[in-house]
Parts: sequence; C-alpha cells; structure tokens
Amino acid sequence: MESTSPGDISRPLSLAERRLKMKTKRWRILFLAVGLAMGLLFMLEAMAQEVPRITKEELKEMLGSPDLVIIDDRTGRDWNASEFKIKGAVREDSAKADEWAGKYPKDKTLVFYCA
Amino acid sequence: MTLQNVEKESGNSSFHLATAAAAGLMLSPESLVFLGNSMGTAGPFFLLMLLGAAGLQLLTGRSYGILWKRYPGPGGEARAIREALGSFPAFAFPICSRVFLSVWISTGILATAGYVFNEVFFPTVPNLAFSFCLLALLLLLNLPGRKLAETAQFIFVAWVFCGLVLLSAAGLLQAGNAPFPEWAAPQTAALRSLFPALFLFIGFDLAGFRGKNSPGKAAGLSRVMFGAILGAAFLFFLWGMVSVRSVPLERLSGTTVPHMAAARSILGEMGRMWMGTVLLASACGAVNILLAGVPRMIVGMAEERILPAFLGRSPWRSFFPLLLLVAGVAAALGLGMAGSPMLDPLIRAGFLLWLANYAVVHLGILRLKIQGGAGWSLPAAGLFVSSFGFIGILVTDVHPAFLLKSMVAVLAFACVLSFLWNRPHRETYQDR
Repeated sequence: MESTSPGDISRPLSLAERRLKMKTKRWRILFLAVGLAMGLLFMLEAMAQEVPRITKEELKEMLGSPDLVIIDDRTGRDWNASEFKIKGAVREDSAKADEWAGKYPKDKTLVFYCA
Repeated sequence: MTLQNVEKESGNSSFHLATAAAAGLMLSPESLVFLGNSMGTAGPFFLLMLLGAAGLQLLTGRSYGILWKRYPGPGGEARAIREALGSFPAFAFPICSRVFLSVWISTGILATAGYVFNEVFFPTVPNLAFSFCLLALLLLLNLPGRKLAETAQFIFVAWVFCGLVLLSAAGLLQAGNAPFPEWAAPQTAALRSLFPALFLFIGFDLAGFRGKNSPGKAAGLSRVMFGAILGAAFLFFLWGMVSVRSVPLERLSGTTVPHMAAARSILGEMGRMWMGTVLLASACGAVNILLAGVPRMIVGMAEERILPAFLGRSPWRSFFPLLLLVAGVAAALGLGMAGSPMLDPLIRAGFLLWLANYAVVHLGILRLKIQGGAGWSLPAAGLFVSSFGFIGILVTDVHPAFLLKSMVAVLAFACVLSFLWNRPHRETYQDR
C-alpha cells in the first residue's frame, strides 16, 4: 500500500487544508486591494497639490534681496535628517501658520522650503 | 518535526549571521545621532555612561539566554511571560514594544536614508521616492525566506562596523596630539542624555527570533547577544571619542547630523561620502532586521496561540505579518509622518515600551525560578535597572506626558485585543 507523508505534495488536500488555502487566498487579495487603494489615494493627493515652485537656481539669484523672506517650515525628520539649511532662512512651523502669518509684510516675496 | 531536524535547521545559522541580526537595530542611524548629540552635551563623561549602559544591558542578554534555554523558538519569550505573569502581559508587551517601535523607527530611518541618498549622492532622486524604493527592496529581500535577508544583514552590519572603524582610525591619526576635552561632570541639562544611553543597546534580542532555536542553541544565543552588545559598545566608544576630538562640543550638541560633521572634519568631502555609505548600510541593517525578526515573533506567538492562529499558518509563514508591517511603515511615510515633530517622541515611546518588555522578561525569570547558576540576584538587578531606566527616561524627557499617553493608549488597545482574543481560548491554555 502506498503511504502519503504530510510533506507529500501529490497527496490530495484535506477539507481543512483546502479551507486554509482559500482563506489564505482571500487574505492575499484583501492585502493587494488595500495596497492598491492606498497607492491610489497617495497618487490622487499628490496630483491635487498645485503649488507654484521655484528652482534652486532661481532662488540663488534672488538671495540677498531685501524683499525676499525664506521660510523653512521643515519639521521632524525633514529638518533633522537634512544636512542643508539655507543661510538667513527663518524657521516656522506650518501647523501654527495662524500665529506667525501676520509677522511678514504682504509686499515681500515669501519662499517656503518644506522638504 | 524531530529534534534533529530542528537542530539541523537552526544549525545552518552561524555565529556571524546571528551577531549581525543582534547588532542591526543597535547600529541604526538613530544611534549615531543620539551618540553625537550626547557626546556634545555631556562631553567625554558620556563615554562612561555608554559603558555602564552596555554593562547593564548585558544583564538583560543573560536573562534572555536563560529564557530561551527553557523556552526555545520565536514564541518562547511570550510563552514564558504567559506562564509567569499571565495572558495579557504575554500578548501586550512583546507585540506593543516591537511592532510600535518598528513602524515609527523604520519610518524615521527610511526618511533619513532618503535625505542621505539625495543630499550626498544623487540630488536628482527625490528623498521620499528613495525611501519607498528602499522599503520595497527590503521587503523583496525578506519575501523569499531567511537566508537572503540574513546574508544581506551581515553585509550591512559589516559595512557599518568596518566603515566606522576606518573613519575612527583616520580621525585618530588626524587628531594626533590634539587635546581631549575636559572630563567634567555633566550639567543638569546633560543628565537628559544619560538615561537614554540604555536605548543605544536595545534590540539585541531580535537575534532570538531567527528560527526554531533548540535548547542547545540558547548558549550560542547568549554569546551572540553578548558579542553584539560589546561590539556595539566598542564602536560607539571609538566613534564618540573621535567625534569629540574632531568637532567642538557645542557644534556636536547643536547639529542634527553630528556624524556628518565629524566625518567631514576628518576626511572632508570624501569622509562625508564615506559616512553616507555607512548611514545607508546602517539604515538597511536596522529596518531589515525589524522586517525579518518581528514577523517571525508574530508567527511564533500565533503558534503558541497567544495571537490568532491564521497569522502563523500561512504557507509563506511570516508573509502576512511582514506585509502588515511594511504596509504600516509605507502608510506612515505616505501620510507624512516623517515630517511630523511627533515622530521622535513616538520613537522614544517605542524604545520605552521595549525597555518595559525587558523588565517584564526579568520579572518572568524571577517568577518562574529559572534564574540559572547565579541565583536570583542578576535577574533582580536587571529588573531594577530596566525599571529605574524606564522611570529616569520618562521623568527627564522633554515630552513626558506625550510618551506616557502614547504608551497607555497602545497598551489599552492591546488590552482590548487581548481580552477579545483570550476569552474563548482561556480553557485551551489551561489544558495545554
């Protein structure tokens, strides 16, 4: 008589094993769906942001102008992990914009450095 | 599976791979920042604290060695805690400490790696894109199984170790007869960095979640953990000493990248690039071992029925927990947590929970009366140190209320989950 060991892959699957396989498959599909949904969400958010940008060359040309205020609003790891800090930039927390927004005259050019 | 098979499986893992696993989290970029800032604040006095903290964490390493001898395997720690202290601590402390810290510290480390890659090597590559790519790469390393991730882990840790030793040697040669800063006792403000010195040596226990350790492997694990702690202590001591001789103390304490300042001062632009490679390797090593170790712990706990069984029954073993962890880190990165000022306090809360887990392990060893040859004194000393360190860090931190609230919230959540999961299974546990 031919015996089958638990590791034998040619052995027909038991009901419990088939259920487990189905359950695993369902979980994988769920994970993939959640991952895709999250990716789509981030993409939509990124596409929704239309903030005018300035290149570092453009900023370099403006440096030294009395009408220029550079606001470095990087916080957390964005600030800590970066080696580069712009000379003369003022640090402000964007989460508390209401508190400091009035400090800067509206006729000046404000450049925000956020990441 | 017979004991011989188990032995054979675990026998494949050699000492150097296990030591790399134990050292991964200790040699993270976070440690280099903390070391540099603390050296700047407390001065060379911090070197003594460093050695003291390493000595104290050796007590914890010893307790883990004892624990894994009696309770081998990735679920052994939780099983021992359950037998000593009950279901809730067994469920809550290992999971809360490791999963909580893994998500936040991986987010921080990957963000740091993104900045390093962008600012030191390729300015055209966006930092966040690199962070995501690195996370995906580390996920791919861990998907096929243990071997690839462990080999990569050894390369990462070896790179960090050799890189820092070479930079230190260059720093020592360059400094020559430069005067060493005074060994003054630290000011009150500097005391803040003394207690968290214990954080530098957290994570060596991840070596115990590598596979099905047999009781015979426990002695080897103790040597691995001791080796990793002593190796990390040597490296931190060397780099700390070189840092204070290369960079003025005020600059070391004030900058957010003290290691870069020291590397630049030693070898100029080349030193900065060299340190960049060390930081990338150190980021990979720390996140890789968390992605490798924590899911295996979850599988081990599921096998012990401390967590839902489906987490341990997947055909790919740690596939689900690994994906959950990676999804958590990706979500934190995508939602901008790296830029949040609350990230660092959350990482400290995670370290505190891990320290609390060490205290629980010491307490468990005492309750189970498996103290080993030296009797109860060493686990009791370990319990005292972990508890005292926990309170000291909490009291001297700048955000004590936030840390406390975070930890209470996580433990309360775990309490609810534990109640829901354990209620229908309580009888099963007692029967086992």
